[in-house]
Amino acid sequence: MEAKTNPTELGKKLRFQGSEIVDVQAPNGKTIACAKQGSVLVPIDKVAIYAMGKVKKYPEDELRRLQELKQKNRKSFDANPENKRRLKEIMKLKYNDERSQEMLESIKKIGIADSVDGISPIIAHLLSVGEEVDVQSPVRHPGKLEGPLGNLKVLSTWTVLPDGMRYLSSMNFIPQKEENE
Amino acid sequence: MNIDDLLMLTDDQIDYTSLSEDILQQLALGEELFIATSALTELSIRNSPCAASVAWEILSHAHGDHHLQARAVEVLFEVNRKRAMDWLEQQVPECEPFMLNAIMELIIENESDFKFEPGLSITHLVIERLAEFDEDYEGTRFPHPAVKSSFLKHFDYLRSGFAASAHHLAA
Repeated sequence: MEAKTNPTELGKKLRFQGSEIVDVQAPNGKTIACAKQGSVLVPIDKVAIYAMGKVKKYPEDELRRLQELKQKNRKSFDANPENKRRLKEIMKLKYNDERSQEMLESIKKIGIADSVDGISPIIAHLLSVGEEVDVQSPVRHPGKLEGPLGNLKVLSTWTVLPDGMRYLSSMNFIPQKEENE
Repeated sequence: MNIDDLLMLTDDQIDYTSLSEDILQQLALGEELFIATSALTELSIRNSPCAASVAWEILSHAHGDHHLQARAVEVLFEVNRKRAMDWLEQQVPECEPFMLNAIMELIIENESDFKFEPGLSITHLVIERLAEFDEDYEGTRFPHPAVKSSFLKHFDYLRSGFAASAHHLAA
Protein backbone atom coordinates (compact mmCIF):
# COMPACT_ATOMS: atom_id res chain seq x y z
CA MET A 1 0.00 0.00 0.00
CA GLU A 2 1.50 3.28 -1.01
CA ALA A 3 0.38 6.75 -0.02
CA LYS A 4 -0.25 8.88 -3.07
CA THR A 5 -0.21 12.60 -3.50
CA ASN A 6 -3.74 13.64 -4.22
CA PRO A 7 -4.18 16.97 -5.90
CA THR A 8 -7.91 17.09 -5.29
CA GLU A 9 -9.70 19.22 -2.80
CA LEU A 10 -10.75 16.08 -0.93
CA GLY A 11 -7.13 15.00 -0.57
CA LYS A 12 -6.24 18.40 0.82
CA LYS A 13 -9.12 18.34 3.27
CA LEU A 14 -8.29 14.84 4.45
CA ARG A 15 -4.64 15.72 4.94
CA PHE A 16 -5.76 18.76 6.92
CA GLN A 17 -7.76 16.39 9.15
CA GLY A 18 -4.70 14.21 9.73
CA SER A 19 -5.50 11.47 7.24
CA GLU A 20 -4.32 10.73 3.71
CA ILE A 21 -5.52 9.06 0.53
CA VAL A 22 -3.97 5.71 -0.38
CA ASP A 23 -4.55 3.17 -3.14
CA VAL A 24 -5.52 -0.29 -1.93
CA GLN A 25 -5.32 -3.25 -4.28
CA ALA A 26 -8.44 -5.43 -4.08
CA PRO A 27 -8.00 -9.19 -4.66
CA ASN A 28 -9.76 -8.88 -8.03
CA GLY A 29 -7.07 -6.42 -9.16
CA LYS A 30 -9.19 -3.28 -8.79
CA THR A 31 -7.53 -0.27 -7.24
CA ILE A 32 -9.57 1.32 -4.48
CA ALA A 33 -8.88 4.85 -3.26
CA CYS A 34 -9.20 4.92 0.52
CA ALA A 35 -8.88 7.50 3.25
CA LYS A 36 -6.33 6.22 5.75
CA GLN A 37 -5.74 7.18 9.32
CA GLY A 38 -3.64 4.96 11.55
CA SER A 39 -4.82 1.40 10.97
CA VAL A 40 -8.21 2.39 9.52
CA LEU A 41 -9.21 2.51 5.87
CA VAL A 42 -12.41 4.02 4.48
CA PRO A 43 -13.01 3.39 0.78
CA ILE A 44 -13.87 6.82 -0.60
CA ASP A 45 -16.40 5.61 -3.20
CA LYS A 46 -18.60 3.97 -0.55
CA VAL A 47 -19.12 7.50 0.77
CA ALA A 48 -18.78 9.59 -2.41
CA ILE A 49 -21.13 7.36 -4.44
CA TYR A 50 -23.54 5.72 -2.00
CA ALA A 51 -24.06 8.58 0.46
CA MET A 52 -24.04 11.34 -2.14
CA GLY A 53 -26.89 9.98 -4.28
CA LYS A 54 -24.46 9.07 -7.08
CA VAL A 55 -25.48 5.44 -7.64
CA LYS A 56 -26.24 4.62 -11.27
CA LYS A 57 -29.69 5.91 -12.28
CA TYR A 58 -32.30 3.44 -13.44
CA PRO A 59 -33.85 3.83 -16.91
CA GLU A 60 -37.34 5.08 -15.98
CA ASP A 61 -38.74 4.98 -19.53
CA GLU A 62 -37.61 1.40 -20.11
CA LEU A 63 -39.06 0.35 -16.75
CA ARG A 64 -42.42 1.93 -17.58
CA ARG A 65 -42.45 0.27 -21.02
CA LEU A 66 -41.70 -3.20 -19.61
CA GLN A 67 -44.26 -2.83 -16.80
CA GLU A 68 -46.94 -1.75 -19.27
CA LEU A 69 -46.15 -4.67 -21.55
CA LYS A 70 -46.39 -7.06 -18.60
CA GLN A 71 -49.73 -5.57 -17.51
CA LYS A 72 -51.38 -5.22 -20.90
CA ASN A 73 -49.91 -8.03 -22.95
CA ARG A 74 -48.64 -10.71 -20.61
CA LYS A 75 -48.26 -13.30 -23.38
CA SER A 76 -46.00 -11.05 -25.39
CA PHE A 77 -44.01 -10.12 -22.25
CA ASP A 78 -43.52 -13.79 -21.32
CA ALA A 79 -42.58 -14.78 -24.87
CA ASN A 80 -39.22 -13.06 -24.52
CA PRO A 81 -37.29 -14.17 -21.37
CA GLU A 82 -35.05 -11.14 -21.79
CA ASN A 83 -38.01 -8.92 -20.75
CA LYS A 84 -38.24 -10.68 -17.39
CA ARG A 85 -34.48 -10.55 -16.80
CA ARG A 86 -34.28 -6.89 -17.75
CA LEU A 87 -37.24 -5.95 -15.53
CA LYS A 88 -35.53 -7.57 -12.54
CA GLU A 89 -32.26 -5.82 -13.36
CA ILE A 90 -33.97 -2.42 -13.57
CA MET A 91 -35.87 -2.96 -10.31
CA LYS A 92 -32.52 -3.66 -8.62
CA LEU A 93 -31.10 -0.41 -10.04
CA LYS A 94 -34.24 1.44 -8.91
CA TYR A 95 -34.01 0.30 -5.30
CA ASN A 96 -30.27 0.96 -5.09
CA ASP A 97 -30.72 4.41 -6.65
CA GLU A 98 -33.57 5.22 -4.26
CA ARG A 99 -31.51 4.07 -1.26
CA SER A 100 -28.66 6.32 -2.36
CA GLN A 101 -31.03 9.28 -2.81
CA GLU A 102 -32.47 8.61 0.64
CA MET A 103 -28.96 8.63 2.16
CA LEU A 104 -28.29 11.97 0.49
CA GLU A 105 -31.56 13.37 1.86
CA SER A 106 -30.56 12.20 5.35
CA ILE A 107 -27.24 14.02 5.29
CA LYS A 108 -28.79 17.14 3.78
CA LYS A 109 -31.29 17.19 6.64
CA ILE A 110 -28.47 17.52 9.15
CA GLY A 111 -26.92 20.32 7.10
CA ILE A 112 -24.17 18.44 5.25
CA ALA A 113 -23.81 19.42 1.60
CA ASP A 114 -23.60 17.27 -1.54
CA SER A 115 -19.96 18.23 -2.16
CA VAL A 116 -16.37 17.56 -1.11
CA ASP A 117 -17.20 19.66 1.95
CA GLY A 118 -19.87 17.06 2.72
CA ILE A 119 -17.80 13.97 2.01
CA SER A 120 -14.88 14.89 4.25
CA PRO A 121 -16.77 15.08 7.59
CA ILE A 122 -18.46 11.73 6.84
CA ILE A 123 -15.10 10.13 6.11
CA ALA A 124 -13.59 11.75 9.22
CA HIS A 125 -16.46 10.35 11.29
CA LEU A 126 -16.00 6.84 9.87
CA LEU A 127 -12.23 6.97 10.43
CA SER A 128 -12.86 7.78 14.08
CA VAL A 129 -15.45 4.97 14.41
CA GLY A 130 -12.94 2.57 12.83
CA GLU A 131 -10.34 3.42 15.46
CA GLU A 132 -12.71 2.27 18.20
CA VAL A 133 -13.69 -0.97 16.51
CA ASP A 134 -12.55 -4.30 17.89
CA VAL A 135 -13.08 -6.32 14.75
CA GLN A 136 -13.76 -10.01 15.25
CA SER A 137 -17.02 -10.31 13.35
CA PRO A 138 -19.02 -8.08 11.03
CA VAL A 139 -20.96 -6.56 13.91
CA ARG A 140 -22.72 -3.29 13.23
CA HIS A 141 -20.93 -0.45 14.97
CA PRO A 142 -23.08 2.56 15.82
CA GLY A 143 -21.84 6.08 15.43
CA LYS A 144 -23.35 9.54 15.45
CA LEU A 145 -22.53 11.84 12.55
CA GLU A 146 -22.84 15.44 13.67
CA GLY A 147 -23.96 18.09 11.20
CA PRO A 148 -24.69 21.82 11.59
CA LEU A 149 -28.45 21.09 11.77
CA GLY A 150 -28.55 17.83 13.71
CA ASN A 151 -27.21 14.32 14.11
CA LEU A 152 -27.53 11.15 12.06
CA LYS A 153 -27.08 7.62 13.37
CA VAL A 154 -24.63 5.66 11.21
CA LEU A 155 -24.19 1.89 11.42
CA SER A 156 -20.96 0.57 9.96
CA THR A 157 -19.38 -2.88 9.58
CA TRP A 158 -15.67 -3.52 9.32
CA THR A 159 -13.34 -6.28 8.17
CA VAL A 160 -9.67 -6.87 8.95
CA LEU A 161 -7.34 -7.08 5.95
CA PRO A 162 -4.41 -9.54 5.96
CA ASP A 163 -2.07 -6.68 6.93
CA GLY A 164 -4.21 -5.92 10.00
CA MET A 165 -5.86 -2.78 8.63
CA ARG A 166 -9.53 -2.23 9.54
CA TYR A 167 -11.51 -1.68 6.37
CA LEU A 168 -15.03 -0.22 6.20
CA SER A 169 -17.21 -2.82 4.47
CA SER A 170 -20.64 -1.26 4.87
CA MET A 171 -22.31 1.91 6.05
CA ASN A 172 -26.02 2.48 6.62
CA PHE A 173 -27.81 5.60 7.82
CA ILE A 174 -30.69 5.29 10.25
CA PRO A 175 -33.18 8.08 9.59
CA GLN A 176 -34.38 9.92 12.68
CA LYS A 177 -37.92 8.47 12.67
CA GLU A 178 -36.63 4.86 12.60
CA GLU A 179 -34.20 5.67 15.38
CA ASN A 180 -37.08 6.90 17.56
CA GLU A 181 -39.24 3.83 16.99
CA MET B 1 -12.93 -14.19 -4.06
CA ASN B 2 -14.39 -14.62 -0.59
CA ILE B 3 -17.07 -12.48 1.05
CA ASP B 4 -14.62 -10.09 2.72
CA ASP B 5 -12.82 -9.52 -0.59
CA LEU B 6 -16.11 -8.72 -2.31
CA LEU B 7 -17.19 -6.36 0.45
CA MET B 8 -14.12 -4.23 -0.24
CA LEU B 9 -15.76 -3.25 -3.53
CA THR B 10 -18.73 -1.06 -4.37
CA ASP B 11 -21.79 -2.67 -5.95
CA ASP B 12 -20.93 -1.57 -9.51
CA GLN B 13 -17.46 -3.15 -9.27
CA ILE B 14 -18.81 -6.69 -8.74
CA ASP B 15 -19.62 -9.13 -11.53
CA TYR B 16 -22.50 -10.99 -9.89
CA THR B 17 -22.89 -13.40 -12.81
CA SER B 18 -19.53 -14.95 -11.94
CA LEU B 19 -20.40 -15.70 -8.29
CA SER B 20 -21.60 -19.00 -6.85
CA GLU B 21 -25.09 -19.26 -5.38
CA ASP B 22 -23.60 -19.83 -1.95
CA ILE B 23 -21.67 -16.55 -2.11
CA LEU B 24 -24.72 -14.73 -3.52
CA GLN B 25 -26.81 -16.05 -0.65
CA GLN B 26 -24.33 -14.75 1.94
CA LEU B 27 -24.11 -11.37 0.23
CA ALA B 28 -27.92 -11.08 0.00
CA LEU B 29 -28.19 -11.62 3.75
CA GLY B 30 -25.23 -9.36 4.55
CA GLU B 31 -25.00 -5.84 5.90
CA GLU B 32 -23.90 -4.10 2.68
CA LEU B 33 -27.37 -3.34 1.37
CA PHE B 34 -26.47 -2.17 -2.15
CA ILE B 35 -24.62 -5.44 -2.67
CA ALA B 36 -27.38 -7.43 -0.90
CA THR B 37 -30.02 -6.03 -3.28
CA SER B 38 -27.93 -6.97 -6.32
CA ALA B 39 -27.06 -10.44 -5.00
CA LEU B 40 -30.73 -11.23 -4.29
CA THR B 41 -31.64 -10.05 -7.79
CA GLU B 42 -28.95 -12.24 -9.34
CA LEU B 43 -30.37 -15.29 -7.50
CA SER B 44 -33.79 -14.40 -8.86
CA ILE B 45 -32.50 -13.89 -12.43
CA ARG B 46 -30.93 -17.38 -12.25
CA ASN B 47 -34.25 -18.82 -10.99
CA SER B 48 -32.21 -20.25 -8.14
CA PRO B 49 -34.17 -22.48 -5.75
CA CYS B 50 -32.70 -20.52 -2.83
CA ALA B 51 -34.01 -17.13 -4.06
CA ALA B 52 -37.34 -17.67 -2.27
CA SER B 53 -35.77 -18.79 1.01
CA VAL B 54 -33.35 -15.85 1.03
CA ALA B 55 -36.20 -13.43 0.23
CA TRP B 56 -38.27 -14.94 3.04
CA GLU B 57 -35.35 -14.72 5.45
CA ILE B 58 -35.07 -11.00 4.66
CA LEU B 59 -38.82 -10.39 5.10
CA SER B 60 -39.41 -12.54 8.16
CA HIS B 61 -36.49 -10.97 10.05
CA ALA B 62 -37.08 -7.47 8.63
CA HIS B 63 -33.45 -7.63 7.57
CA GLY B 64 -31.78 -4.63 5.94
CA ASP B 65 -33.86 -1.63 4.94
CA HIS B 66 -37.19 -1.07 3.19
CA HIS B 67 -35.52 -1.00 -0.25
CA LEU B 68 -34.09 -4.49 0.22
CA GLN B 69 -37.37 -5.73 1.70
CA ALA B 70 -39.34 -4.30 -1.24
CA ARG B 71 -37.07 -6.18 -3.65
CA ALA B 72 -37.44 -9.32 -1.50
CA VAL B 73 -41.24 -9.31 -1.65
CA GLU B 74 -41.09 -9.04 -5.45
CA VAL B 75 -38.74 -12.03 -5.59
CA LEU B 76 -40.90 -14.04 -3.18
CA PHE B 77 -44.07 -13.16 -5.08
CA GLU B 78 -42.61 -14.62 -8.23
CA VAL B 79 -41.80 -18.01 -6.74
CA ASN B 80 -44.05 -18.47 -3.72
CA ARG B 81 -47.21 -16.46 -4.26
CA LYS B 82 -49.06 -17.85 -1.25
CA ARG B 83 -46.33 -16.95 1.22
CA ALA B 84 -45.90 -13.52 -0.38
CA MET B 85 -49.67 -12.88 -0.22
CA ASP B 86 -49.75 -13.86 3.47
CA TRP B 87 -46.91 -11.43 4.16
CA LEU B 88 -48.63 -8.66 2.18
CA GLU B 89 -51.90 -9.17 4.03
CA GLN B 90 -50.08 -8.78 7.34
CA GLN B 91 -48.05 -5.75 6.26
CA VAL B 92 -50.53 -3.58 4.36
CA PRO B 93 -52.58 -2.35 7.36
CA GLU B 94 -49.56 -0.91 9.17
CA CYS B 95 -46.56 -0.72 6.87
CA GLU B 96 -44.71 2.54 6.33
CA PRO B 97 -45.58 4.70 3.28
CA PHE B 98 -42.52 3.59 1.26
CA MET B 99 -43.48 -0.08 1.57
CA LEU B 100 -47.13 0.68 0.82
CA ASN B 101 -45.95 2.40 -2.37
CA ALA B 102 -43.82 -0.64 -3.31
CA ILE B 103 -46.76 -2.98 -2.61
CA MET B 104 -49.04 -0.85 -4.81
CA GLU B 105 -46.50 -1.05 -7.64
CA LEU B 106 -46.36 -4.84 -7.23
CA ILE B 107 -50.16 -5.04 -7.35
CA ILE B 108 -50.42 -2.83 -10.45
CA GLU B 109 -47.76 -4.89 -12.23
CA ASN B 110 -49.56 -8.14 -11.37
CA GLU B 111 -53.11 -6.81 -11.57
CA SER B 112 -54.73 -10.11 -12.53
CA ASP B 113 -53.52 -11.75 -9.28
CA PHE B 114 -55.18 -9.03 -7.20
CA LYS B 115 -58.58 -8.91 -8.90
CA PHE B 116 -59.75 -12.14 -7.30
CA GLU B 117 -59.21 -13.83 -3.94
CA PRO B 118 -56.86 -14.25 -2.16
CA GLY B 119 -55.26 -11.15 -3.71
CA LEU B 120 -58.49 -9.16 -3.77
CA SER B 121 -58.56 -8.81 0.04
CA ILE B 122 -55.09 -7.25 -0.12
CA THR B 123 -56.29 -4.79 -2.77
CA HIS B 124 -59.17 -3.80 -0.48
CA LEU B 125 -56.75 -3.31 2.42
CA VAL B 126 -54.63 -0.99 0.26
CA ILE B 127 -57.70 1.02 -0.73
CA GLU B 128 -58.56 1.41 2.96
CA ARG B 129 -54.99 2.53 3.72
CA LEU B 130 -55.05 5.10 0.94
CA ALA B 131 -57.70 7.06 2.80
CA GLU B 132 -54.88 8.11 5.16
CA PHE B 133 -53.10 9.82 2.30
CA ASP B 134 -55.63 12.32 0.99
CA GLU B 135 -54.72 15.32 -1.14
CA ASP B 136 -53.69 17.40 1.87
CA TYR B 137 -51.34 14.76 3.22
CA GLU B 138 -47.83 16.14 3.63
CA GLY B 139 -46.11 13.40 5.63
CA THR B 140 -43.67 11.82 3.17
CA ARG B 141 -43.24 11.70 -0.57
CA PHE B 142 -44.81 8.22 -0.49
CA PRO B 143 -47.14 6.91 -1.71
CA HIS B 144 -45.94 8.59 -4.88
CA PRO B 145 -48.82 10.56 -6.49
CA ALA B 146 -48.29 8.83 -9.87
CA VAL B 147 -48.43 5.36 -8.24
CA LYS B 148 -51.49 6.28 -6.20
CA SER B 149 -53.25 7.63 -9.26
CA SER B 150 -52.35 4.57 -11.35
CA PHE B 151 -53.51 2.23 -8.57
CA LEU B 152 -56.85 4.01 -8.21
CA LYS B 153 -57.29 4.00 -11.98
CA HIS B 154 -56.81 0.22 -12.06
CA PHE B 155 -59.05 -0.51 -9.09
CA ASP B 156 -61.54 2.35 -9.13
CA TYR B 157 -64.41 -0.07 -9.69
CA LEU B 158 -63.61 -1.68 -6.32
CA ARG B 159 -63.71 1.69 -4.59
CA SER B 160 -67.21 2.37 -5.95
CA GLY B 161 -68.29 -1.10 -4.86
CA PHE B 162 -66.84 -0.42 -1.43
CA ALA B 163 -68.71 2.85 -1.08
CA ALA B 164 -71.95 1.26 -2.33
CA SER B 165 -71.77 -1.61 0.16
CA ALA B 166 -70.91 0.78 3.01
CA HIS B 167 -73.92 2.92 2.03
CA HIS B 168 -76.10 -0.21 1.85
CA LEU B 169 -74.99 -1.32 5.32
CA ALA B 170 -75.59 2.14 6.76
CA ALA B 171 -79.10 2.19 5.31
